[in-house]
Amino acid sequence: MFNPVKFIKYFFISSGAVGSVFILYYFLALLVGEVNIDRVIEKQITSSDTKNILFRSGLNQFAFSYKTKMMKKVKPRVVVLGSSRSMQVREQFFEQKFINLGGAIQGVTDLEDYVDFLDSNSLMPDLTILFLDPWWFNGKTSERGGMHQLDYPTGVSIDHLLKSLTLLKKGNWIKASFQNEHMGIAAILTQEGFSRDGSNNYTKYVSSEGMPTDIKFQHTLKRIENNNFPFQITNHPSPHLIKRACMAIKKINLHTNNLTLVAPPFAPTIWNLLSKDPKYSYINEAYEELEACLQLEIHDYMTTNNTYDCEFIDGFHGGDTSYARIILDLFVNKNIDNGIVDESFLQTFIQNESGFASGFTRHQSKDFAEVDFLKLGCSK
Amino acid sequence: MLFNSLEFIFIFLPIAFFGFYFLALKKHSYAIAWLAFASLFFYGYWSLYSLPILVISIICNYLFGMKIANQHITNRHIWLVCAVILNLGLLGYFKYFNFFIENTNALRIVLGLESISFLNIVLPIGISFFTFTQIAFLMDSYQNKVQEKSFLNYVLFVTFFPHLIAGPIIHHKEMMPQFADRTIGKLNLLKISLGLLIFSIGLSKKILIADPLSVYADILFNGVQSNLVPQLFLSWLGSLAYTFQLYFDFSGYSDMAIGLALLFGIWLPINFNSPFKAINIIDFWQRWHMTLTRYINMYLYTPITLRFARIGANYSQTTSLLFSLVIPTMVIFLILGLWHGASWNYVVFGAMHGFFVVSNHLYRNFMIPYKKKNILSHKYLTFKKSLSWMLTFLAVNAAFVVFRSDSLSDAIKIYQGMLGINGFTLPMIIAPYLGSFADYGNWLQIPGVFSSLKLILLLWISFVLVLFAPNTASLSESADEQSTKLDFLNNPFIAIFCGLLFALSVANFSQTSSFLYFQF
Repeated sequence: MFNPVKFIKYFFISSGAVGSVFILYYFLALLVGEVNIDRVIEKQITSSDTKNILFRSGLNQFAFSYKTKMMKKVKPRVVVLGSSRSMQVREQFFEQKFINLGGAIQGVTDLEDYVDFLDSNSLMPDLTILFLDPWWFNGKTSERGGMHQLDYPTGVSIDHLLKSLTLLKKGNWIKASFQNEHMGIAAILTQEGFSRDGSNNYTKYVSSEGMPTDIKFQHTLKRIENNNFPFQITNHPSPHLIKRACMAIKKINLHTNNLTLVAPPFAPTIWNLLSKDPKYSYINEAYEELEACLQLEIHDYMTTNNTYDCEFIDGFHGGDTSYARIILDLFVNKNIDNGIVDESFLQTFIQNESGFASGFTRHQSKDFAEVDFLKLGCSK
Repeated sequence: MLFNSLEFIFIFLPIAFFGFYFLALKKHSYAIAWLAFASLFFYGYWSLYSLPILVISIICNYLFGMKIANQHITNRHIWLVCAVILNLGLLGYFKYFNFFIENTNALRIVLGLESISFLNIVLPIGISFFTFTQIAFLMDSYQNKVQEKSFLNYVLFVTFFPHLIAGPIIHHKEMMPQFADRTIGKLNLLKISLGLLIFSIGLSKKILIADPLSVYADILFNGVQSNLVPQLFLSWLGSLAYTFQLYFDFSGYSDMAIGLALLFGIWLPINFNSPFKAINIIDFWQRWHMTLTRYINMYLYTPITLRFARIGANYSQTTSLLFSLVIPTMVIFLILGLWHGASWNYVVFGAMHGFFVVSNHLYRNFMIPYKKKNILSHKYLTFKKSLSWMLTFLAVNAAFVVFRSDSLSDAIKIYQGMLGINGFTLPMIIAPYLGSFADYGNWLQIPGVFSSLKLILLLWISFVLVLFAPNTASLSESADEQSTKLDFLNNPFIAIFCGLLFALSVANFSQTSSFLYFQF
């Protein structure tokens, strides 16, 4: 005969045991910043200038939700928008309240989502600098302009727990979380991540302890050779994506006093290769079509002579100095909106950090001093 | 409040549970009133705006029911017609009025007339379910089948929170005697343990299988909506993901409803009986959303078929078949399609199933002589069974494509993809096994998530479960028996496994979504 008392007892014991594990894990995840992104942002923006608390999740690489929440909280006057190829623009470059939304915009869909975000939050920054990646307009890279980015989790889950456990292979993040104040498992382990202004910090990656993947740009070159992301080839940019981007940018323009559009740089070695290859002629074509649609200039920093391989993180991600040069050129030499940038800081920074990729972080720790991590023969 | 939410499981349910058994110690009617109040609160928590609509609908239908059940009045049929029209009118207004305007506008544009503005109508949640439940009550009242007439029990019959939002569609005669039974307020540990078991399994179906599958289904269906041209593998994987998502979501909800009801000592009818084990489409509909099929059979199919069969009886065999089978079946399935929502997609879904069922009946008629002669070999019958299963599964999967798509043109794109008309790309997951061939160009690219082992694993688990797992909800039928049927539950691993499923599901609540059938 079935004994229901025994059944109920075993049911509650097993569910209670597993439940307790998850409750404990929830508090641990909360402590290290892997749940409740609002708490992470609060901690970052209320920290002192000297204590640079970084954030990088080990479980979720989507930046849109984190950066837009940060923007909503800070209400900046200056905003930088774009993919990971805009993350090195810093608050120190400007004299106004600043947020870098680099990494939040991975394609046209994110641009549209950003418009929705502005609409629903009535935000109106004075200046928006939008870094446009050419592959946003390549139908072969993303037919639909990318997918909507997921939100950060508000609670834990089985996936969450399993991924965290897997990350223990990369280092004991539980122990490390008691040794540094960074938030997110990746930031705790590598001491790299987003600063309180949203800009990105490379430390371990460019040091002798890092494991750079793009030695002599071989990884980027391999991507180009195999037409892998983001170097898929196409005959022409997608008219559908250009049209959608044009509409979204026009709306962004209505939400800012000054919109500056930029074509971000490639390492000169890489750009020399791309610019000569007719299979990538879509890049210039895309920018021209977009300019025609918007009736706005896109400032081209792909073909500039003012950038150097040694100041790059990899073949298509410029470092701090590259972006300092761009901002100085845009706002002082091209005289777009003089007075909004800290010119003397930029001049000094470029002078001191010339030839380095990680000017803002390379002095932080002797362990993480920048070396010739790309093995290009750069003097560091 | 979702069944799969922390506030439901850890606040609402314990309060409702302990309140019910505590008040039952005082007086049976207090416990029933408490459960009715808790159910109205549960509904109001969803949508306070819809609560008055539900309450008015209950009061009106109860009064109509009492009037219709009164043998001493002569024009009962007029009262019945009025009541049914009122119910259908309410449903029609909330669910179908804008659909009517949309189609009228399409016609007006052709005629060069100005369009009519849409009305700002918010569909009250569960309206299809509580309206159908009450129409059945009115019909039963007319046929003198209503014995139990307590208003309080009637309120609980309509609002009982486990079934209120998305069924099972219950019948007056199977519920009212249970509410009147004074033993339901007595703590029944057998029912409670079965309730916990069935609820945990339903919860895990939803959280651990349906929700993860929804990610992949959404990539296909939302992608097509934003101009994705789906190719062979994407179309098949996405459509299979949706078919299983829908099954595990809806059957999971039904299991949870049955389990929750058992916690209060109430038995609810089962809604799914392993539908993907069906070897023909008629069999499928006897196993899928069984309470809706039962309802439709009882109140629509049988009366309509009888009416048409009478007309067809005077004609030739072919015409008679048209009247007795084709017309009633198609009409019923079109209604069934429209019941799901105001969209041409649902009409096409109904039409497809109507066509499948008619074809199934015709094939059966055609095969009768061969079966009688017993000339079909055993090998052939086994082969035929496998083929029939596959055909049934493919037909069901194909119909769910149109059911889920945002428009008919999206569905057509997916069908083209499934037929290979949009070309095919291989998943990245097999690239390592292709050696140097993998280096050839873009043809290996497929949206990243579709390369994941997780999808393959989820589909594999889904296939195994739907084909080989026993039907857990049917255990509720043994809830009143002290038979050996439940002896296997003495194995502690079953209780531990259920507890584990429950805890893992609760731990995953942050990633869950609403139930698919709530929109209907």
